[in-house]
Amino acid sequence: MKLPKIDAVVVGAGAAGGIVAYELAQAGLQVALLERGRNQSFSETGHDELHSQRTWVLGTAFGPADATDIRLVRSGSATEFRKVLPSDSGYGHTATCVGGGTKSYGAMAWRFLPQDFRMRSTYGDVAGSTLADWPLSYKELEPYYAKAEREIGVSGQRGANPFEGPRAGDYPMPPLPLSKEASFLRTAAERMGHHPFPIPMAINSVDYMGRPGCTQCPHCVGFACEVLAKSSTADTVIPRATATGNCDLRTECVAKEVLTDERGRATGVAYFQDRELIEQPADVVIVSCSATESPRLLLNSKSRLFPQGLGNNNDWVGRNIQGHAYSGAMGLFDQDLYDGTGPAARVALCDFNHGNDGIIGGGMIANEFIRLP
Amino acid sequence: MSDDELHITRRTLVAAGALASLPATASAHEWQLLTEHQAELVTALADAIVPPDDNTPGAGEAGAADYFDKQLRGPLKRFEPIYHLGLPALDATAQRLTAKGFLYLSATERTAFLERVEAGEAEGPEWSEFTAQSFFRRAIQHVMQSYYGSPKHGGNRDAVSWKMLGVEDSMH
Repeated sequence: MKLPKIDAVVVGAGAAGGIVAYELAQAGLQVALLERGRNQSFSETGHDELHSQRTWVLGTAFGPADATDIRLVRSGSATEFRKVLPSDSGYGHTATCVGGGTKSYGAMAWRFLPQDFRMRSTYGDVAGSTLADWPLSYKELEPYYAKAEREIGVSGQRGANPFEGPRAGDYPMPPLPLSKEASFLRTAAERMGHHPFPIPMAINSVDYMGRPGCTQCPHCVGFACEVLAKSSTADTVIPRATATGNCDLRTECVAKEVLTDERGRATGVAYFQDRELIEQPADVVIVSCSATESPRLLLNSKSRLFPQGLGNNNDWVGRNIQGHAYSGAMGLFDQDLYDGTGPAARVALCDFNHGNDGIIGGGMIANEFIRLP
Repeated sequence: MSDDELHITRRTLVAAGALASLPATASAHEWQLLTEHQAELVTALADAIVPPDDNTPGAGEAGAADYFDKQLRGPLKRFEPIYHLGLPALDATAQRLTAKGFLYLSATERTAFLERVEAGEAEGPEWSEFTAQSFFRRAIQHVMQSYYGSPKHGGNRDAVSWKMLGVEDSMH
């Protein structure tokens, strides 16, 4: 089935797709926002440690589903495949629902530091890497960071992190109060000469734009927020986009390929809904399905001009994917530091993000959200 | 009776032939997937992995077998064949190495036996599809899930582990 042409089709109603759909719809464009998952309510998943985005031993809580989204993973030779379920460790699933990862994220709301935009300028041509500078600077992006923080809702303390780039204005909301553990760690870090500060969080610290302030239950990362204090795109920009009357959110629609014309320009998206193949022509196509699914869609969009997939004539699509590199440490303390309040991650320091002798880059240090037994 | 044996579970007593001395209410649980013997093995294994103490029941008594019986028919279905093979193999291995079935070992003996399994020192003809060591490693994961996860999944009866950890209030 071929639908009438519209202004824009956005593939993926997650962090980026939700924001883009809102901006376009607000500007008066007719937008179709495609999402392969569903619009999930809190009660579907609740606070279940075995059925969450972080621990999925009893199934993925925010999709994809074991029953319908099996992957075949090459094992050994090119013709040998094994079935992998979304809840298997080898699948590498990303949240698949309206809001995408923002429905179940911990909601730390970092801006890049100014140096993060100039990695090659800072560290040079690092052997074995493809290290590059971003084509834009912190200064150019700052007004848009500020806008996103206003629209989505971010709490934090301006100036508390001496390493952050200049900000034109305050955070939209004050920081969440420190927990017992975070206060303890902050004092200790200060004593060591570091610069701890409350983590900027996309969680309301006070009532904000029609959503309540955080009730400080400890279930942030991995769960949907029971009171919608967490600033998911599913609960902020996406409902605002559909409220304009210009954005049609289409759930359980799986994109098959980006369609192109004979000049190689994108003309729309073909997708499956209830096993029916639907074509949605549009002037603008936005691919916003995460770092793994966006390349997959592009690689599946083959045409005469792009025989290796759309935009992939240089074989770079899907390369250089970077995940969270994580390391942790635990300590035993003389006093009880657990107060059961959330969000558990509350204090961080950026003293070691850059400028580490003999090391390319670095990282921030924060207290952890969840330590499972 | 030693301290170890004081913590023996009701189902283990049933296996040990003590049924006659128990009241009628102690009759066997209705299992959907597990056999009574498998359920007893899971319970004993779980109590060895997370043993009871004076204040808190172990993972077996807290319902590990209920968790296995329910989840191996559901989200953990793909592990069902592993337990179908592994539980009797574990029992047979105990018989080979200790001359007693797993259920007839005292808690101390069970731990000593499982330490050999964990160290890879119990492999033998009972294990063909996978090793005893990998089976035990898998079982530890599933027992931990049953004990520390939500009671609604079958284990952690009455939220005993959450009470022990002092986190019960924040878990709902």
